[in-house]
Amino acid sequence: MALITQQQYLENMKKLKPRVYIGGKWVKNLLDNPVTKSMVMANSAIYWLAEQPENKEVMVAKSHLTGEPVNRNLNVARNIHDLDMRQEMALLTSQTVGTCNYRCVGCDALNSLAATTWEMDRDLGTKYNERFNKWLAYAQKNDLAVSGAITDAKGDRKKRPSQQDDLDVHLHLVEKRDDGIVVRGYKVSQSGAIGSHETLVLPGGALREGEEQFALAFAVQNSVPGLSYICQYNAYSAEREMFADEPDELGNPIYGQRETSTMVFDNVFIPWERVFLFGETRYAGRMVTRFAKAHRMNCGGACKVGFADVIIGGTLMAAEAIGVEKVPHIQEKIIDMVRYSETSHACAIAAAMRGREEPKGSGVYLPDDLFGNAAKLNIAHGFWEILKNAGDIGGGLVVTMPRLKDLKDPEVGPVLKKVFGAAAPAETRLKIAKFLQHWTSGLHGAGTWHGAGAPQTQRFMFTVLTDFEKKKKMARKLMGMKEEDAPVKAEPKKAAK
Amino acid sequence: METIEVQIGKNHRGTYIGLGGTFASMSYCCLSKKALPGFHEKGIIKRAEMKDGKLLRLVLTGKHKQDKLMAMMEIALPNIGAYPDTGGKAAFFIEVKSEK
Repeated sequence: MALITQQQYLENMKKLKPRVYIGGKWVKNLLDNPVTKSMVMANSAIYWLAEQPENKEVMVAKSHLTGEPVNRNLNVARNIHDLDMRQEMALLTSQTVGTCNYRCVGCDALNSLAATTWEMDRDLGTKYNERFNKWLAYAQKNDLAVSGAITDAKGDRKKRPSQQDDLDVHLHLVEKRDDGIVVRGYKVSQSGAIGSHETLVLPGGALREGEEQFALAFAVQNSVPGLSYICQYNAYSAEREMFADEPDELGNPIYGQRETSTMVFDNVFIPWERVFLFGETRYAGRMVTRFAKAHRMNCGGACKVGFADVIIGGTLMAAEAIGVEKVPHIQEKIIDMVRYSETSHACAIAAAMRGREEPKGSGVYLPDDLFGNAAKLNIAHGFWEILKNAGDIGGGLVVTMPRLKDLKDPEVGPVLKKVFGAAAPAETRLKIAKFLQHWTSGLHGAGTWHGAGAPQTQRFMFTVLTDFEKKKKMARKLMGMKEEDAPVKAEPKKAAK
Repeated sequence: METIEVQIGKNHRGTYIGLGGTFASMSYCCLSKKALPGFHEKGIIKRAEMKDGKLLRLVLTGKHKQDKLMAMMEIALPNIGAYPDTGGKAAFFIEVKSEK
């Protein structure tokens, strides 16, 4: 059994009992709460996609461990084609659910772990890769939904992890035992962890000697005692609860906005078989960087392009509903939306095509760093532009509309139908406006900005990855300028650490 | 992978398979945290003890029929990452009783 169906996943979720808190309530069953249900339904759609024969190339891969077909979310990329299909999966899943593929972070985390555990075993003679492969084979066999937890709460940014007043702001070791370790701390902004069978936990960033207690990577079961999830709660959560029985009132009726939680680890036991980094600070940064490398191609370059596709579709329909779809400046704005979107997709494809084995000999392929960062940085800015144009073309109605069911009110309904009837009936216009409200006034703008790392991290990577001296040399050559006449002499390039 | 057999009375048996370390996880939860995976109410475990590192003996609070105890373990095991399996020689055992 290497692939389970959507129905089987939903049956699994009925049995899982994570300790979940949302908006003042403890959730006993994820499918009973309208907000947590939207997250589970989105994850279930990812299983459904893998069942469809037309999606097989994108959604299903061959396990390098067993040769069995596995969901691509559990696949380690072994070549350029795998990388390309991985970014195509990010596109397809976003186009389908209009929210997170909640298995996405786990997928990129496991690729980072595959590369880095191999490297540690080579360098240090450890057995992490063997351990990790056993866990991966188990996850693949059961087609587990795996989320990823990277971001620590961090506390005071001026202080290192071990200097914080409360050490829990970085997930850390509490006890080393013969059979495993005990950990505590927080991981924040964890997309879809509640509805996953397991979560892969990585360090939140690079660490230094002396910070071994924070250098931890492991797989944790969803409902292990000591682990709690405190879900995000916002206007959209309240709206979904209010319209639990009237989903037509919602912008994305089935799959919702984007659900995250803070994971609270209160002395959670992790057996050694699930531990993939234990104190090796030198490898913490590499683990995170490799995760980011994969995630910027997928989350940045492809996933948000899928969102852009549905926003562009909705925006065009909004224009058609009032009869302005042929107006030149409307068309120009739509074309700009496509330009922002497809440029990012092109960067993602380039990141996949220029991907390479890392580390050499590991068999693990990771995307090109520069193009992946370009994809993410481009969409971080482009997505706001796309939302701006959607709000522009969608009109003030996007934020001033009444409820859809007000159209059925015997007193105000007939008036509203006259007010909002245009080239399309009022019902159609309001439905489209609600869809655009969901995007333009929702959580995805800031989510896209910060997801896979805020743009400042990509800018930093650009400075690291770009050979500026080489560019200056090319310019000097064309100018006919000698190096000694340059305003600043070239510094010898530092050897990579 | 490791196989865990749940034993309730003479007639109720359940076999579960999970990643290595699953029994250690289950044991830590029951012995150190006094918690049963998938159940969040406090005081659910009346008594827990380990024998020979392979047998976990649990006494659950309240009076439950064996069917009910089995149903509880059918929730607990998947919540710690062990899934029902039909065969295989068990390396670890969990004996479950109800409080008398």
